[in-house]
Amino acid sequence: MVDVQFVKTPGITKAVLDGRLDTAGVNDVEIRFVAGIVPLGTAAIVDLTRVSFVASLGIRMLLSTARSLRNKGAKLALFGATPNVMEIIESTALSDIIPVLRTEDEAIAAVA
Amino acid sequence: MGREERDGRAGLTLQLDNAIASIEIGRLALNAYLEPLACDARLLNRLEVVFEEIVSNIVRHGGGAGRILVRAEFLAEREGGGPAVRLTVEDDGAAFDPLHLPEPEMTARLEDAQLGGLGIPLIRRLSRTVSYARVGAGQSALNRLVAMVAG
Repeated sequence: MVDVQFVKTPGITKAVLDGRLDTAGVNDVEIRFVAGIVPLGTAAIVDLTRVSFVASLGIRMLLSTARSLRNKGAKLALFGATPNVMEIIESTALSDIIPVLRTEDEAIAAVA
Repeated sequence: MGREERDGRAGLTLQLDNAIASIEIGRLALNAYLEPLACDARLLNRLEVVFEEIVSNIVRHGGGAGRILVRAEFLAEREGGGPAVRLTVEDDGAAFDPLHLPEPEMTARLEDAQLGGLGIPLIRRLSRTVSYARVGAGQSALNRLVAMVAG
């Protein structure tokens, strides 16, 4: 089970993911995650602090959501990845495609 | 569901159903096997990702596999390196070598990024070595993927 909470402020949506973004976790959370970000069409940041694991389907979910948001003219950035999650983000070159920052403030600046 | 056998210190053997739930069953069994062996966190994470990608690939694309056999062997001392785990995954689906799939093109442009096909490149990048073989013959032929994962 993966939890996702949204904090919506004018001009920006923060999604806080909590759990494992493995095959089962992505199947569980993807619809809620996308629905909480994309329809608004505003900039989004994703807090990965409480994500303990990510596999390729999790990377695909993040990439796909960023692309859908881009199609609406808005940006998405990630922040707070643990070392284990960061290794997978870098191994898939996700960090070359969308901004991956250390802190929330840096992520907000990246999507502004 | 899964069937687990511990083979002394030599390793862990699992038989899993072809089902998404098998990934979590296998992960928990791998963790239980490796926990007393004091693997470092990076090795455990890499192993979990490689296991997840291999089994997920079989379950989602496995050409009618009925069963999945998993062996894990902790190698405390290796020539020229620290601890590693040799992970062997076999399935009885149609012959298929996932390592022959082309690598997705690397791009920094979001609109050009490939959304699928990220799992096999992850297996390659997180494993010291990875190999595929079709073993056996006729009704008992198996796909065998062997990955050596280190920290």
